[in-house]
Amino acid sequence: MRLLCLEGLTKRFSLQDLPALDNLSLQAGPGEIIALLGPSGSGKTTVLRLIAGFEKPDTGVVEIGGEIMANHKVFVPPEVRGVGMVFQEYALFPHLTVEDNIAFGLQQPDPLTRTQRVTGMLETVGLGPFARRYPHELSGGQQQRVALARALAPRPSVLLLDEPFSNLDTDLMAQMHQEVYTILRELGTTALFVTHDQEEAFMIADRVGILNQGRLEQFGGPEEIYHRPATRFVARFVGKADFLPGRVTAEGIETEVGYLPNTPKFPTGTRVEVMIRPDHIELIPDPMGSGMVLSRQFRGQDYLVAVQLPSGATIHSHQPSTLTFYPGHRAKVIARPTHVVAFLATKPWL
Amino acid sequence: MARSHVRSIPHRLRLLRSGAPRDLWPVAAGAVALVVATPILVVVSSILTPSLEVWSHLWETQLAELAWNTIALITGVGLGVVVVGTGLAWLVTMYRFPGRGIFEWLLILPLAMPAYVIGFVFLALFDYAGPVQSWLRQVFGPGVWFPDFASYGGVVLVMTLVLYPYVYLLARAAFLEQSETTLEAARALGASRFRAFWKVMIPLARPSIVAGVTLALMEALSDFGTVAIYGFDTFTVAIYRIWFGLFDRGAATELASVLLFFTLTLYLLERALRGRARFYQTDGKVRPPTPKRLTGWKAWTASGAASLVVGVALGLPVAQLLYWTVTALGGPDYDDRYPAFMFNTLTLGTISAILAVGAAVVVAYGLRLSRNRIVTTFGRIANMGYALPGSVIAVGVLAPLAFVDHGLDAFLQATWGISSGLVLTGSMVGLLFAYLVRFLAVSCQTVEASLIKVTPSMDMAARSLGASKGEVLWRVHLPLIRGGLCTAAILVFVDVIKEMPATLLLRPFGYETLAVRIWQLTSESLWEAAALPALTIVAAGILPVLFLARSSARPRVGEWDDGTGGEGKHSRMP
Repeated sequence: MRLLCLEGLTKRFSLQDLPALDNLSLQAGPGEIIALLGPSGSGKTTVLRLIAGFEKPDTGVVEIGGEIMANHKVFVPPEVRGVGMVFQEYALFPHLTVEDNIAFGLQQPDPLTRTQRVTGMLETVGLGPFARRYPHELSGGQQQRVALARALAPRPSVLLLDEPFSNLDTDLMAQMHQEVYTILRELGTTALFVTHDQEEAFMIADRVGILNQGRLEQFGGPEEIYHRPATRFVARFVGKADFLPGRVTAEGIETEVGYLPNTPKFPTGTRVEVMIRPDHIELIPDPMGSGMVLSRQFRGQDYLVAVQLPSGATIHSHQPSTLTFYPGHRAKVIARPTHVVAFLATKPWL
Repeated sequence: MARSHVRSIPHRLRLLRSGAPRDLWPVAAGAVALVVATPILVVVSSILTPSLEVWSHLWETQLAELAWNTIALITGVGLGVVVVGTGLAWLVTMYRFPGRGIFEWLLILPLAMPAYVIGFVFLALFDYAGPVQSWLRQVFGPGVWFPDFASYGGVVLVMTLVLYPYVYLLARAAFLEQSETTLEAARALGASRFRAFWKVMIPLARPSIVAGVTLALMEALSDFGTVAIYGFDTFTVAIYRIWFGLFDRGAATELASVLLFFTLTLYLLERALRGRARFYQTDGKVRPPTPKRLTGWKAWTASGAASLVVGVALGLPVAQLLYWTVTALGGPDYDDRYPAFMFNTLTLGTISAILAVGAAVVVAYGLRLSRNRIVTTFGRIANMGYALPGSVIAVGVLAPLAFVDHGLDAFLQATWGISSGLVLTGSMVGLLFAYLVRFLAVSCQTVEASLIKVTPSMDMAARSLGASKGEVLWRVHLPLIRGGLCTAAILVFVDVIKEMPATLLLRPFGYETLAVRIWQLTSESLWEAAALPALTIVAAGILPVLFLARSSARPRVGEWDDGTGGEGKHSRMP
């Protein structure tokens, strides 16, 4: 069953520019948590605004719970869509207390039900003692919880979150990731959130959509996105990746770092570019090795070592922090990818 | 809790599907803005459709003199306010001297004085029959020379004294927003303190100074009361005379369009001079320049200069007004119709304030909701009223009102055979409309400044929680901008009370306000009798200036500010 269904959404803000969204389609089932990941300006927020009803799509359909919310004929205004939204800067109403903020969207005429609902929400987010406070008397994390409670109180069919964690400092962020995840799961809310932080997306979401310049490049589970990126952009955007030229031969894909299995089944003779993640490069200290260490970055748990290959191409490798490579050292470079990801070559050979 | 509780929407959807409601807010905003813009467009269009006969007549009689006087006035007042305003701003920001803390805001207060009030007080004091010249004649004999006060020089002096605070305020803000480090860098590069000021601070503050001068000059162009009693003929005087003397509305309109042309030129000049320079913005973390302590005679000279300005522009006239008022109370000069004038004035002020704030909310909210180009354009034109002299607006208001009047009358005659006469033109409606046109910008900018502080995501949050656009305004915006609305209402109220030319031209026959009364009394040199109404207006005028003084203090950081401080006068540029 699809709870949220976007079909061929296109949105252009001006005729000169590229469309902010280009023919985007995706579905979410009930209770599913979806992350939209992309660099700034990729159209992530536009997707949320289209679902919430703050923008009209130029073409395409927005369907929530089987009801058409927007297409070429119909446009349902935001206030009747039953979509909850949590904003980056929370957008709490500064003139209302925490409980009045949470009660804002409740339409029940019966005051008892309203109070119960508000109390229940306050408990869920653990803010019971703060009911009478004003937003500016709360910490960032508390404000975020109020924002979440306020959006969830009317029991929206879909909850949209626009970079909800980007205003928090690192410690609090990790804690809030966990809390928000738990609350959403507990309530079984379908949620779609937007972020530019891939770790965040992988941690919380069931499925992740990668957006680039208004196009959905890939939509799938976090592991699939990381290990089997559908496009070069996804490969580069999600985690670090180097691309090495390769040529498909009978024995496999021939590259500077050895033969790799031709699992994508390219015809023999095809020129390709193979994606290689730093995790998959092994370096063996060897004065006669083909690679020369260019630089190393200490990153706490490991080093990121940059190695130059004879062709001039640079490749990166994660090395344990106990091992010591210094710029100028030579090493043997071996690739051991778990999956081979390769794309048809676009650039001529270097 | 589970999915079964998910809010069911279909029944509400069905209601909406049938005939999607049109978006009414931008339409309402556009309509209000259009109504307010009409008089402005009427005058503008008369520039484009000059009537040749009227022009040739004007040219033969007075056009050259009017234009020359106006240019001379702008030049003189412009120079005056730049020197006095910038100089005082420099003094209070860069130096410490006895009384600096008090002078910092006392120097703003002359803004509360309408030019026509200080104008008639000075005329009374320094004219041939006034106490100063009488005393001089007593001491030095009848042949003693004294400059003629009712002259170009007198007008420029009076206007400089009440209008310099515009430059003072903006220049001071600009100096304060500069950082001590900039100044220190200049000093480290070998510039003296004075040279650093001249080469670094002045250029950085230039856009603000230019904006201040422009505001001052727009006020100077709209002034009617002062130039009229000083016998210095400018366009406002000529419009009044042609309107009432010759009843020639066509010629009045053409003159109004020339005056409008001057105003627009000023406005464009300001734009050009500001160029691509932006107002210096602070992130609240810059350290303002540290004032240097003055000692000895220098300190007393500084205090003396500031006292002189405050004394002449504020102390002297207020003291004289108080003296006249006290001596006149109970005497034959006291007019027992004063409470009635007061009532009329307050009525006009209150109704206009409510109208202007109401209209401002509709326009500002409509503009917030829609980026529609037509609505935005009308909104911008409707906001130009403040830059236009009251006489121009009075002229512009009349044509559309007369049109509606005639239409209404014809309609009623045709349908029921009754005549409505001139219900609008001859009534308070015309006057209130003119006030709305003239002062909508004041309320609109204050309301907009407060609305900007309500982030768009707050609107979206409210909408996604089920509030319609109207409910968002009612439940979120209005409570948040309450302070700003009050500020806007007070600003309009006081401006209406002070307004003279439009009131004179459009008031219903026999309807007298404080400003009208001042005009009638001072044009007959009945200074003492004019003191009480004048003092009342000055007292009312202090209110918005106090708001200004508060908001021109350094902005406090980290507090939720609803804009009650009111951008006030310095944001009045359309």
